[in-house]
Amino acid sequence: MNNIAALDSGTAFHIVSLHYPPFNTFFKKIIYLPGFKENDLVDIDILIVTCSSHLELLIEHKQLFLNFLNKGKTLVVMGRNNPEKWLPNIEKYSIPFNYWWWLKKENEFDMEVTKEQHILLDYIKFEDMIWHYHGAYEIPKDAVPVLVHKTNKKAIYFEQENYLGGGLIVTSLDPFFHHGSFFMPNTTKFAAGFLKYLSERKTKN
Amino acid sequence: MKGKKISLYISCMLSQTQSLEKKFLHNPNIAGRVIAIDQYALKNLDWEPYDGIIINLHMDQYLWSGLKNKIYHYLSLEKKIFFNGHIMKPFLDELNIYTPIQDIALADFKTKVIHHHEIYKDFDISKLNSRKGVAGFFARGGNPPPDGAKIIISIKNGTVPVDWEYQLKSGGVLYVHSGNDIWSCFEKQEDNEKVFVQMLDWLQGKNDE
Repeated sequence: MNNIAALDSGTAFHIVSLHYPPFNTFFKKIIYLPGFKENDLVDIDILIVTCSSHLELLIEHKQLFLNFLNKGKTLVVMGRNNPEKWLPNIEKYSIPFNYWWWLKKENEFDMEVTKEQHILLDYIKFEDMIWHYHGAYEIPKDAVPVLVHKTNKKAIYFEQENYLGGGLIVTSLDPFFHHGSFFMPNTTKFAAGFLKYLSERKTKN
Repeated sequence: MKGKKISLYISCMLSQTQSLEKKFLHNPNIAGRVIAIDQYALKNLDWEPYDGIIINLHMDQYLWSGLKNKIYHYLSLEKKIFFNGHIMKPFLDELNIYTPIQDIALADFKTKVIHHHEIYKDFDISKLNSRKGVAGFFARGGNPPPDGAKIIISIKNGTVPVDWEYQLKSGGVLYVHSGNDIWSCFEKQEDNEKVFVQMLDWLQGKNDE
């Protein structure tokens, strides 16, 4: 089992998602972002930058993320965190916000799975990945894009095994925001499967 | 600053300050009446020159609840605070944490006015039941009101208070809206601007004079 840490920006939705059942037991450590320091990551295998973290504080602490990766650890960046502003070689691809996609009967969700055999799908059903996403990313050269936009094929979820000495997972999905806001039940199912996946996932160290 | 009333909009991130400027400050009934300051500047700021404080759902609640004594002092000066969101770290002794409605059904989202309030003046409250036919933006549960609070709007057939106003014995008033930021709950931007204006009117006592 991996030791997982998560960043807490102190909003109501962070507090609910991280400190209350059913997810609180997944975390070895919950780190209050304004006081984040290197020492917090001792014994941590995976660090989750939870949805809608405080952007200016992420930028301020960017060296800590780089140092963590450099030790061969895995960094997970959830939706609405603008990683292109604090991680190198990440490029955002802007697409219109698809919040209201389900309102027209002829619409279908414009996201697809590229790797049906990817182990993430053993933990989360595709139907539980569907609510909306916040933009997409250019796919880094050696990354595995698990979820992409149907037409432009840009990444909504990708994993990169060799990123600055560690591993990187980036997604534009924001399950912890919605679960912690008691809004959109699929996000709770996603977060449950995703945290189990991260706990059991093979990591470098 | 005497004579000119200005409320503090507590900005949790730079993008919120930008959003306030873009969406609201072009409105002549809002511009000049509110300024954004970063949440982490609150601790060392003198709040007294400002006639009201607006808190949104992205507030760092460890920070805000840690300012309890300062909040009590501010309210004792007969000031007002408008709080949006779910209380997970109570910032006054009289408050408790947010309670979501379990197994919520569509009918539970329907709003009911218990007492009229100036922030909703001339509004059709049924507009808050849904946006584009989707319910849940306005509220999905409630922050429990303290004894003596005046209930403004409830959901779940009037049984779960969502909006309430609480006058402290010291003179200050706290308005709590237990959901998404009130200026984002209406479908039309003009309605969101109107509720923002009426929130400022309430904070700044425009109708008290």
